[in-house]
Amino acid sequence: MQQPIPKEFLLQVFPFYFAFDERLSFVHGGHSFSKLVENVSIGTSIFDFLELQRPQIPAISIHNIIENQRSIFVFRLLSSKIDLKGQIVYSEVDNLFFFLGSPAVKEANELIKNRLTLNDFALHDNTMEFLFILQAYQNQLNMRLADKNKELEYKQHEIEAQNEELKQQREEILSINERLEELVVKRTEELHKTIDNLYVQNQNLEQFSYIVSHNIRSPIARIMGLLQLFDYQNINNSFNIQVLQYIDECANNLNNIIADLSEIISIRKNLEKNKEYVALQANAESILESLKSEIIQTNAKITIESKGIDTIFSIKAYLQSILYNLVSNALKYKSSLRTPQITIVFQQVKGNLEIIVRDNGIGIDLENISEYQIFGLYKRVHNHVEGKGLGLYLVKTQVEALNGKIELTSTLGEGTTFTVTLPI
Amino acid sequence: MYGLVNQAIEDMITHQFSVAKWEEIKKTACLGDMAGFENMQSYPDNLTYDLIGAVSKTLDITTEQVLEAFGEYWVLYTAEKGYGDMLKMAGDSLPIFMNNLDTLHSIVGSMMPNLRPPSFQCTEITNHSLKLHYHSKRIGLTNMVIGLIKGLGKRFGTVCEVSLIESKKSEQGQEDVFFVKW
Repeated sequence: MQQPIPKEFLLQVFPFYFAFDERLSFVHGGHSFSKLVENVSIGTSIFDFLELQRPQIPAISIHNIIENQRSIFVFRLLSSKIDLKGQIVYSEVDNLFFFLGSPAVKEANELIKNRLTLNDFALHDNTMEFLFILQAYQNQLNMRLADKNKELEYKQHEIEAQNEELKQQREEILSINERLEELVVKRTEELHKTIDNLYVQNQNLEQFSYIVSHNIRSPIARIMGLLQLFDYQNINNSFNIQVLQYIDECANNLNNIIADLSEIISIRKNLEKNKEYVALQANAESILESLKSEIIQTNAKITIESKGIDTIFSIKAYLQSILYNLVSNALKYKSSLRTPQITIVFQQVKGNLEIIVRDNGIGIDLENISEYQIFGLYKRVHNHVEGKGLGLYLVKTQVEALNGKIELTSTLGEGTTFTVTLPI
Repeated sequence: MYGLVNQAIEDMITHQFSVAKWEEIKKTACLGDMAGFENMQSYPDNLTYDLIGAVSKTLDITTEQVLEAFGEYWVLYTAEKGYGDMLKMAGDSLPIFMNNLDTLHSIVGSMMPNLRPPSFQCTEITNHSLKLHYHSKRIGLTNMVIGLIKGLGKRFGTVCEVSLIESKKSEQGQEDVFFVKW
């Protein structure tokens, strides 16, 4: 004999239960069920508050429900969107269908939203265990994910740091490259200068070899020629004395040439001789003293003018040689038509010392004679005047050794002016 | 014990002190090489006891103080580390939550075979007090329970007093009764 199902028992064991009759009308339900389905009254069709998810049957009817009593029933509650999962039991005595089940959720949050707590579940219900397991695995995954993210972040930082380093290195290389290019340009310029210098040196050397082969050979040839004229048969021939005098003259000449050449070589070699303060006026006077006999012989009038400068810090021997040669040239190339007038001027112009030697001599035809011919070694402009052609070359060499320059202006038949400019 | 417990100790030290302090504690507990704990992995109980001992030694406080502080932290930690919803469902007031302590531990125990979670029972419940009976196979964690209740009090904003009124150690484990007043 079947007994009616006691409601109190149901409330404790299946708090989510609900009962309905053969017309599918709601009769009563558990207190947890009531939390999910508000304001449901007796007689309401169950499909007013739920829809069937499972089993998939064509149409719900009492007949179908009885047929499917071994099926799991899933109802979705329309208001809370929560699925209740369980089974349907028919009680003949009560003439009622009982749904016995509980929420099928995957997150505790769905329950919290519907104000359900642990106390709304029967103690035998495994829903909470299921949720806890899901939550625990979720937590574990989250932790691993966080670890991986940290790792990635760290790697990202590392990569960024490496990029920064690379960038710096690239900039360094670029700057080195730039500096290298500058250096190459500078070195190339220096190289060009050196090449130019070498070119000039080479020209000088060529000139030197020319002097050695020509100017030294010519007096030697003369000596040899004179020796052939020597009367060996008759040693006491008075002609021999004449020959010997000529030979002596040639030898002296040769000696002078060699002395001059060594002087030139030494100027080129010793660019840094000792410098000292040279008193310009006194220096000029001592040179005029050494040319005293030539001055008396030519009856030359010589004046010295100093304008704004008395001394210069320089190589005294060079200054002496420059002045000596210029004055001696002026005396040498005097005009036979007038008394020689020579003016020596020392003046300061734009931070330089200018030494001017002006004469009223025969002058030089500058239109037909190049500067090279004037200042070149053993070049002689006037063949009728005695001179070995070395003086002006020596002057030019010395002026250049003092970082200066020499220029001249001249009018044929009127006179010549040499201007030496030296840095102070 | 599960890795989660050891993780919570690590979290407590690194947050309330420093990472360097935690490294020091690990060294003292002879766990210097240990990189970290897996929260769902079971570790020997001795490892946790060693850690508690090392914390006590390094911070120069008693193990009882360490356990109480840890019990309190445990409530915060589990709520933060993904179990917040579970805790919410266990109740929104101190007495309701304490009533569900046993269910909560059973639920957790059912999925962690090595957990051997403690049991809790509430008796003599009034509006402002109850007696909480605590049974554990593990001995010596009494002060952790005190911290746990105080932590729950803070969680629900309820000022409470906890006193140990009975304590028994046996081969069965630890059996304590606490009187909780709020």
